[in-house]
Amino acid sequence: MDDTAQQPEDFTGAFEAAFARLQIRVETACAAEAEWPAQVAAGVRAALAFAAADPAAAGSLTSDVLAAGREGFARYDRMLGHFGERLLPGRALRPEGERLPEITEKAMTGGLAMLIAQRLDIGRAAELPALAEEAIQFVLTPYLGGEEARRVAEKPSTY
Amino acid sequence: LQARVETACASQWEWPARIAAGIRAAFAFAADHPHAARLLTTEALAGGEEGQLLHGRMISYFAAGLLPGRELDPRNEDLPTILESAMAGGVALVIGRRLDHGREGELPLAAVEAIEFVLTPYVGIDEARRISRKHSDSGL
Repeated sequence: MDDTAQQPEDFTGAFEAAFARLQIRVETACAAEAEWPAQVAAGVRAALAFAAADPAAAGSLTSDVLAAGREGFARYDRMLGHFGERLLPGRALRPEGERLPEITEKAMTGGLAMLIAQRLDIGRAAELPALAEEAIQFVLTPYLGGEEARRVAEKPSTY
Repeated sequence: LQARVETACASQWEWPARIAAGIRAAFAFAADHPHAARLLTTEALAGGEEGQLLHGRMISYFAAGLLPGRELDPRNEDLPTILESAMAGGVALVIGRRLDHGREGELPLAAVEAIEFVLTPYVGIDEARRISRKHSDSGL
């Protein structure tokens, strides 16, 4: 990887500030819900709303940090790990949840982050909130099964 | 990578086995050719707008290969439309992460998990696990 692609000072501050803001938005949204599936749904909606409202900050968490070489990728990985950990309690909801592959959480958050980055890259950040139902269903399906994940995703939300 | 994956897929008759063979081939390619695999994953993403577009094109290509899984069960029609792109992107990230840490030796084992992860929405967790274990037992 080209570690000279971007100097650390170019992206570190922007990434950390945006990550802190996103964490607050997501955690505030999650805290408003009692049940884990509803918390995840609220968190996904909050993340998509954050990206739509501030594409520059969202870009610093996706494309910009990835363009920063190995250190950027490590930060990106840390962010995905943070949100991936929030999915782990879902494994306890069904007996088969314990048997989910270890890569599940990282692959789910990574896939979702990539979809956000793609929309940002083509200037379609405004479409992101409309993806919320699908994104929630995608993230919850391994833990709840398809039908229940869909039901939770379709439930009206304040986000 | 395309040639390796398509050759592997073509060696199998049923769609789940084709996907399993393709994933296994992709992970084996990355383990055998980490530099080339890095070009397709972390370095593409680090390559600015053009690199990210190329990465997106690769993800779309592999995502399209998953679409026939929707025809396996009528209930699969309800799967979210973002599913294939998100899973392909997630799996690419898993590969990129191993490569970035110099842990390409772990990729063949990670392939077994990736097969299970990708097949579960289409065939259910039990069948996905059975197929992934079959591939584990057959030489990984």
